[in-house]
Amino acid sequence: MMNGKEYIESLRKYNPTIYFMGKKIESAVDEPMFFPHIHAAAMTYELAFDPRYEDVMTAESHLTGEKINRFTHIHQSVDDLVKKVRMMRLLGQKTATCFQRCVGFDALNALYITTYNIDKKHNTEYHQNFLEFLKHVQKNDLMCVGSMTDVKGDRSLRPHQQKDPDLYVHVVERREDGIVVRGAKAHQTGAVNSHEVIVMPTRALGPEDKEYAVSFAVPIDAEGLINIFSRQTNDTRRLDGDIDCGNAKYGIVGGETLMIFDDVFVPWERVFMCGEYDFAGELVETFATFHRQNYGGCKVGVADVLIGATALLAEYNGVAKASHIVDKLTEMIHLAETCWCCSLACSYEGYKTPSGAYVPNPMLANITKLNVTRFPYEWSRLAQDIAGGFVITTPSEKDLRNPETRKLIEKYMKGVEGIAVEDRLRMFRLVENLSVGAQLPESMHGAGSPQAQKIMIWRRGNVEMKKELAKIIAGIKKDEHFIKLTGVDEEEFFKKMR
Amino acid sequence: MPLKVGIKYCGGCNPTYHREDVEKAIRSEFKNAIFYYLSEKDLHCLEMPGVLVLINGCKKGCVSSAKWEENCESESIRIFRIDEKAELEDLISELREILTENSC
Repeated sequence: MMNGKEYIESLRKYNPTIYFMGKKIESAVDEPMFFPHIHAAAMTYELAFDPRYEDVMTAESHLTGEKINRFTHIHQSVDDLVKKVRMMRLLGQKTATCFQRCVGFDALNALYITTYNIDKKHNTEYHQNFLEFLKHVQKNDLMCVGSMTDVKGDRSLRPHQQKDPDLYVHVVERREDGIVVRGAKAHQTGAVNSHEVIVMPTRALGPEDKEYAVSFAVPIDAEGLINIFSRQTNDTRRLDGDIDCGNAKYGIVGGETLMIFDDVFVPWERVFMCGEYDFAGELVETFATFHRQNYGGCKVGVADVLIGATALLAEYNGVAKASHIVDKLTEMIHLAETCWCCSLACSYEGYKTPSGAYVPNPMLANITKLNVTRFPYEWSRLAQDIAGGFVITTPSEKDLRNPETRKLIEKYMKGVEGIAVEDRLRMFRLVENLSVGAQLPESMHGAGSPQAQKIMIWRRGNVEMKKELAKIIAGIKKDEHFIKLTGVDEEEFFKKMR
Repeated sequence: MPLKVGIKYCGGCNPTYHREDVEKAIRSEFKNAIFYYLSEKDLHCLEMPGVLVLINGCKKGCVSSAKWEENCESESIRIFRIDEKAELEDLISELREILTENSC
């Protein structure tokens, strides 16, 4: 295993192609705009060495028996699924942002299960390929980008119907030693500070889309792989000191890229699906189940920090004892813990797959994520309500440092006695960071937009069974237990009462 | 010798299919079989060869076959677990094989 510092240094061994703000980034590790994202990911490594957290942060590899970072583990039990979400909440609390490493973690688990199933049906050798890759990841404690979302072009058209065939990643050449792929993936969280990229299809596919049914892994610096780093709300504040950013150490959300595969070669031993379109949907659903499981962990960990910051601001503002403030803070806690309940529930209701790996309950995982598309908006609204307008009108750190304005700011930005003005400003900025910026759209769209969850929920909602229940209670269909309770059937029982 | 089929249902808190369809299908396929419902304590009393069908309403599989295998004192009892309706066909063909073995 690597600790946090070793992880950061390990990134120097790679030379990925990254562009940002009109220039090529020569070294991701030395780029100040990437520092917070790298620090957040590094926490997934560092906490594994802290005896206070190692129980959730590490696991025993079922392949080698070695102690490994849990982010490279294949879930072997319900307990593993539960520990996963406990780890997510912990890391949310420690970074107050996205720590990025869960996507690759979920890709590993989804591919473990699906490659096993593909081989069983098609007599292929993808699972063995995958196991070798997994051993490499576990042994070297690597961070992987889980690369699923294609750029998709016209959403009303299937991949093969697009005018430009490259709008979904696809195979453009099959060689004796491997395949060549082309296309692009959007929203690639943690890409600039990962070691490997794991690519999966983005949707269920039919026979005409066979060339799009492709899954593989390549190093982040594979030839032809290009990352264009995305902008975020208030992103350049991180270059202006450590107050205005709100969370200067770990930043906002994950740090996403547009990832382009410009004829990238993949050797056969790194291919996990190639043409088996009948398993594309299963892979997407399995990955989505794992990824949606997380959101009641990581986002709740972040909410814990926001609730703390909001409660402190109420104290700094002198309103902590007002009953409506207590009520609103209680509501924030209720919303956060509801999401936590969902993550725990889908984990405890998880089950073993034919591969031996465990998966969370898909219905409950989708419920978890659907709640997270809504509740963070409400707990953010409550935080802003309690904190007040200074959340968005606080003077800058530079004005606080300027001797000409410092005294004025210290005089007029004062709250209750005994609290330094700088501390109050820091807390306003933290609430701003956690409730205004990219966190919210990330809660909405990360792991799939709300409609994606609703489709899954409707499909698995078993409405026919619910209709039967309703018919029995309404007296339309015979209630087999009622006659046992009363000794007579319903008709006879109610006849007396008419 | 008729096939003896012990049936154990999970608690049925939120089944994803109609569990009773499994029992109905087995009963209709193996009309001469002797059926009985089981609780865990019954396992220790079973002496005759037969099969146990553990019917779970979802993939969570609360009635775990491992637990029943541990408790089952007779090695001649075969245990099958079904967690979704799609597994029904396989179950019936496996039961048919057992019936053929027994009749040989």
